[in-house]
Amino acid sequence: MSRERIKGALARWIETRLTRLDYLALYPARVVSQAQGDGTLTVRPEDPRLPTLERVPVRLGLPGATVKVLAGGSVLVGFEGGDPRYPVALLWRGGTIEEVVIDGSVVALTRADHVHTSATPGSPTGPAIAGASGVSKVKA
Amino acid sequence: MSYVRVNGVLADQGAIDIPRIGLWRADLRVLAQEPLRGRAEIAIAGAGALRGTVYQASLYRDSVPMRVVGGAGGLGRLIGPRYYDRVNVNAVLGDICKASGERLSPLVAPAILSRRLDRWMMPATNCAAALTRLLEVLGIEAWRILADGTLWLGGETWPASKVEYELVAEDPERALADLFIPAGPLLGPGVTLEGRKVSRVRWVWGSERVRTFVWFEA
Repeated sequence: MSRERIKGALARWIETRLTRLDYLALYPARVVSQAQGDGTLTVRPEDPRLPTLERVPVRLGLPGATVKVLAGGSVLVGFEGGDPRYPVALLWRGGTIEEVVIDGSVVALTRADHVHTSATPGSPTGPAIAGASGVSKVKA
Repeated sequence: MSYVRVNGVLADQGAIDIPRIGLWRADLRVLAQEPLRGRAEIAIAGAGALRGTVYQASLYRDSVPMRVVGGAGGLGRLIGPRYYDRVNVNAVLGDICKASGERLSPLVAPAILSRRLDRWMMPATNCAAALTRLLEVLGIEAWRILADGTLWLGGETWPASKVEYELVAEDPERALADLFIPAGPLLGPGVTLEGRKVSRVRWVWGSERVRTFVWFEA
């Protein structure tokens, strides 16, 4: 096979790769920042076919749960219903949690792996986090 | 036969396919001594003209077999990954047109162009795929390159065609009719002929008169 034919075949393969995006797949992405208000993320996907995505809502999989994270973490992003209008961040692949809120109870994990909880009224113990080193502070 | 000319040069045989959705293309042979390049205007005597771009042409013996595609022929070009935050559809289409070199038709409904997108993600892809995805998500059923070389998109209104024709033959199973159109405006898809929706038109010419094949919507 001549060099030109190899180059041609390679170009076609690259073009095919570039022109096909599976909108129902999940793509690894790096967290660039998180909005203070609604907690949406700005993420930079590792796949070069995808642009930096802004205002991406986080779907934690727990109703009533929200999370604050530090920049630099890794998350999987996808598109609800395969629709490019609705990017979502779904599964964490690593990173540092600053704070988790579950059903109004604030559970904060610091880098020192401390757990902070604040019990909701009528809930004497508050939520527990498996694998954490222990409850160090209960917020009022 | 002087029926069809490309940039003024006689095309003694060929075929032009115009689908309801997508690019039209013409495969023809022009009596030239060197390949034509760039913009191409296919003039059909007494009927009008189609504006496109030479996709492929080469000298073979004493003529040039060539392919012309509608518009700028740039919908295969790559467009980089882009993310849009709170924009109108017009902005996304404008970027696709800029990357492809196509021009948007003034016949595109303003209601489509002003539609708001809270967010839109365009991956690195070719312009046709980017356009198709946008229209698919927005529920816009059709796009095509018009005879004037512009990009149209929207919902069909199926106006009645005023073309006068003679029915030469018909194949009901394939929803196909062979017509003879003696004169008049170009017949394209997206119109109705006696109540039947025209889905695709193919003109063929050579040693005999031009034949017009019409496929109807099922």
